Amino acid sequence: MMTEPSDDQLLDRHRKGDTGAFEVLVRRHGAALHGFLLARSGSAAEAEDLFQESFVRVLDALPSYRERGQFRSWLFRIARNLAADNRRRKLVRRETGLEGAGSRPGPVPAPDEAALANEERSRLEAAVSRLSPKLRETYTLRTVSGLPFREIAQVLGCPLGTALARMRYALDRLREELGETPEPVARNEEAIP
Amino acid sequence: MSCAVYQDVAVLALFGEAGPEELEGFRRHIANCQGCREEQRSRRGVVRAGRAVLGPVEPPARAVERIVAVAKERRKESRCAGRPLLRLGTTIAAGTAFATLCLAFASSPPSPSGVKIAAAGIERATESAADTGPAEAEIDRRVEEIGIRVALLRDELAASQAASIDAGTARVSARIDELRLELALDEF
Repeated sequence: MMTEPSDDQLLDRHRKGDTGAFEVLVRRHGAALHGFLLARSGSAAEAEDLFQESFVRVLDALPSYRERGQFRSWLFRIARNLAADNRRRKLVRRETGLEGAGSRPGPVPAPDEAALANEERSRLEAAVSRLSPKLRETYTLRTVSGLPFREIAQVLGCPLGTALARMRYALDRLREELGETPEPVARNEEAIP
Repeated sequence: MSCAVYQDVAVLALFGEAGPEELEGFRRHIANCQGCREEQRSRRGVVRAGRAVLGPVEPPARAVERIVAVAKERRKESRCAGRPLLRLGTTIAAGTAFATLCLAFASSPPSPSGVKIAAAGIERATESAADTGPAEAEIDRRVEEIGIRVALLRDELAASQAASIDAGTARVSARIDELRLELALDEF
């Protein structure tokens, strides 16, 4: 049976001149990373820029990549730092009057038109956008990008217990905002007791 | 057992990350704890709604294409920079240039023509490394040729330095003799 090459194997192939290997990596993590950046920035154009910049930074930093087996969390850390820098720059521009208030990130855009009714989606997006940045980040990394909590802790640079606590607070805050939530059929069904 | 003990497991269980033993313990707990059971059911609704609305989002195709183009470009650049023979050639060229420069300045005072020769040497050495073609045999031949030139230049430099040191030592010795003589005369 053919097994998928690991991220590190693909990086090795890229280093050895396999031009298609990096593309496989981009496609493998593209949707998860783009979804995270979209939810974080609230702007499709900004998310696209950050997405490209993240992978270019990965290419630049590849010679110093030593975290064997942890490519995904490394990639998300890079993306998160870029998004944070971008946000800081925007805040400075806004404070100094160089940018209009209209560029403030809005609610998270909808990725799947058919998943829920618009009203329900808007409510959830609005509730997620009102979470504190740390809670929103944790919630998005797990729910949107599907990173396990161990990796989320690596990306956020915090202990596993902190990541779990943030998720708990995020879920409880969303419960308060949304009230009783119906249980639609999830796209990524996992075992829930 | 206290509900607080299961706080982390409850979150892990929502996403299918709890271990079998942890999960079993948690299941036993919620079977007897209505508060935790209700809380878990409510959280599960939020998780499922979130997953349904906020799943991964495919990036635009143009963004992926641009990244792939950059990756290919970087790969091409690093292949040229990373070829061991070319790297060796460049190193040797730099060595040759340095040795030539040292020779030019070894004569005191440095003559303008010496500097010009050194500059020409640097240019030739750099050109010979830059012109290195793709044929491996040709590269080998040039590397060997440059290596021999470097060795010869090193020998010349060493000889020049030795001569310079000898001359300097003789000058210092003569000066010491003069000072000793002056001292002896003063004492006398």
